[in-house]
Amino acid sequence: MIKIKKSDFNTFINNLQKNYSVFAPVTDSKATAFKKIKSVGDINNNILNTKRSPKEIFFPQSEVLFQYTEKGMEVPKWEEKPFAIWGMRNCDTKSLLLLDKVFGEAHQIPKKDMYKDPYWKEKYDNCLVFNIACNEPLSTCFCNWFDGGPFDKTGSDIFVVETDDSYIFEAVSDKGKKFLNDCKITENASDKEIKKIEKLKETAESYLAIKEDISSLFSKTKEIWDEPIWDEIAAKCINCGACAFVCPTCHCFDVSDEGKDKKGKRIRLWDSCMFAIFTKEASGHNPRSQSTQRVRQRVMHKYNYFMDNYDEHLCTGCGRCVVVCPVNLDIREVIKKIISY
Amino acid sequence: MIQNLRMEVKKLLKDKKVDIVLGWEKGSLPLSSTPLFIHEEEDVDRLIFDETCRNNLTTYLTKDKRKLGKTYDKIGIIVKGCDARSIVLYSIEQQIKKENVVIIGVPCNGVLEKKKILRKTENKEILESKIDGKNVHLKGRDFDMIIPLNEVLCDSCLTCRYPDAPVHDIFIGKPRKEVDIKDEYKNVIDFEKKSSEERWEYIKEEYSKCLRCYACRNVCPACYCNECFVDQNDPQWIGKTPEVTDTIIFHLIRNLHVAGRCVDCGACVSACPVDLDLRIMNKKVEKEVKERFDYTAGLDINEKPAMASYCENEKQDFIMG
Amino acid sequence: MIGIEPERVQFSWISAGEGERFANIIEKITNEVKKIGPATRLVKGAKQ
Repeated sequence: MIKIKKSDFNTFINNLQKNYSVFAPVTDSKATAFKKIKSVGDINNNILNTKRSPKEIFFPQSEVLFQYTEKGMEVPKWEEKPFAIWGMRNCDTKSLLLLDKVFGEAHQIPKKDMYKDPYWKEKYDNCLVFNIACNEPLSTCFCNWFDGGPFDKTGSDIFVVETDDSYIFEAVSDKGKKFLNDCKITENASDKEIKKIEKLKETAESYLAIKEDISSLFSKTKEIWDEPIWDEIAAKCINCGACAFVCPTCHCFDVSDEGKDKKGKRIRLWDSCMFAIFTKEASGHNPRSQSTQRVRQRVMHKYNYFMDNYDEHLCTGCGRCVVVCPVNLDIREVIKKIISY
Repeated sequence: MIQNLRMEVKKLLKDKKVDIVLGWEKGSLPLSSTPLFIHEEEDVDRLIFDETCRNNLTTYLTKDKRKLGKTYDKIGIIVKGCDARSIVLYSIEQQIKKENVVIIGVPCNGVLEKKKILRKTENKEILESKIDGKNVHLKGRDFDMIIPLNEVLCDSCLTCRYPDAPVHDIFIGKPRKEVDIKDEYKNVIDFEKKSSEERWEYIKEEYSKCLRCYACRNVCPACYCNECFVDQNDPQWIGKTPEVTDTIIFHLIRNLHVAGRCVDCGACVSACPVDLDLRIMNKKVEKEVKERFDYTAGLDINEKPAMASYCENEKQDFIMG
Repeated sequence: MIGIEPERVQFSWISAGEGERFANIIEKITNEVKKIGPATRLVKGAKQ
């Protein structure tokens, strides 16, 4: 495994920027997010869990699908290729894999010529993910419930461990191997340092709360569909979109046309199943007019339907929804309530 | 005080004076509380009231097309000063029948703003906390600090004139009528002194961060329209993307819709996931309503709302010659 | 308050029978707005 000293971090990023657009956690005024950096000074390496998730690089809050004038139609192209993301964490890296099941890969049932979202693929196929291990998980992290972990490498191209004075790199994917072969870093991590990684992993895992056994979550959610427990769970939800918007796996969207006279554009923007009019139909009928139905829908989508379609839960335990919910509706407590019903 | 509150709530439930009581219980995160819906006497022991009781519970009275009022005949609700004023507003605007709501006032000394606290800890996670008289004690993985309470109270609380419910059925303790506040509109006045370029730059910069998650609208007790203007698409009033002019118009119009109705409970500021300065506009609107119409929202249950009444002698200084 | 130039938002009471006064006021406002140029603040798509 190769390494760089923290004092050489600036040089590393400067070199990276020669060939890649670099995205990293930045302090965007008051909320932390993943944004393209101009210089290494923009990077904030002290954030474990950014307020806004990195899904917005690949699936932005609003994205122009096409523009038209009298002369014709134009589809915007993603300019930042290739690009690298520094500072991803396992929960966010895994979430990209989950989103790729929806926007990229084929559906579980094999079907020829399955539609793949070109806007997603243009970005996802051209990115290099540096996944940094979490040395000190937060009390709101529950990635271990979903078979993730602070030192889990799933989905990364290059796995990075931060020690007191260095970053140690390990190639995980072919793309990562190629990058590390081609980059000019020659210093290797010592055996002592590699042993330290094991110790850091143990400490990090001890910070996490006990792993809850969620193996029954899939079946339980289906069993209790008609039960009054949903009223109890949904009582305090105020149906804003905060949880869905900060969630790295939520991907519902609305399409809005904005046009005037002879020019306009079609925009895809974030939507949330929590909003009252999410399922309002053109006839005026709304099958989920009640808050309880919508809360139940969100829980079912994340912990039942997605498992049905793609064999995984649509959640990576990042804890952002727990932190941001205005009424402290803690999804961990919802899960526990369901499995113990 | 909390024992008296719990006793009172138990009594109300036992005597069947109410079918449900809305209050708060300890939240799952340090320094947080979460709404508690009490049906049975045994749940009452979970009830708390302290500086973490941030939420304005009155919003549940109009949520989901007033489902709570349709499900339960009599609703008890524990309120701070600002919350009680929201209920007065509901009564004036005929969203609730006052006789079906039992208002239980509690003495409020202000509530914590978690975002201010996180600024003090430089965003480091708080693992343990304790509120001790005039201070709040915070412990994290590698820090241990004591902060004076008044440095981390909500901005709304710092300019609050009516901390205790002006209209109530029951009050635990003795309610204060009004607290004298100096310079409650200082932020607004200072802002207005800036040049129009400076003001526009600030507003543009601030509101470009808005995610359009509508947490501010949903948590606000004054916002209870069945269909919000942003959701209408026939015709569409404003764009749905977070493009900055659309976002500013959303907030402008929302502030005008709550003119003379906003009680400055600060729930919007606490709910915002990206920490926007939401009060800059609505404090200005509140100031205008107070100065032009001598009206403060939610104090008198018999008063007509400011924006729904006409007075011949209203100031017309904005009309040019 | 939010920084829209005050010249762009002006109020007046004018009766349908006050033709000359109407013309004068419109001319006054038109000149004032022309002096500060096309609006860019709060105009969607305008270069801010």
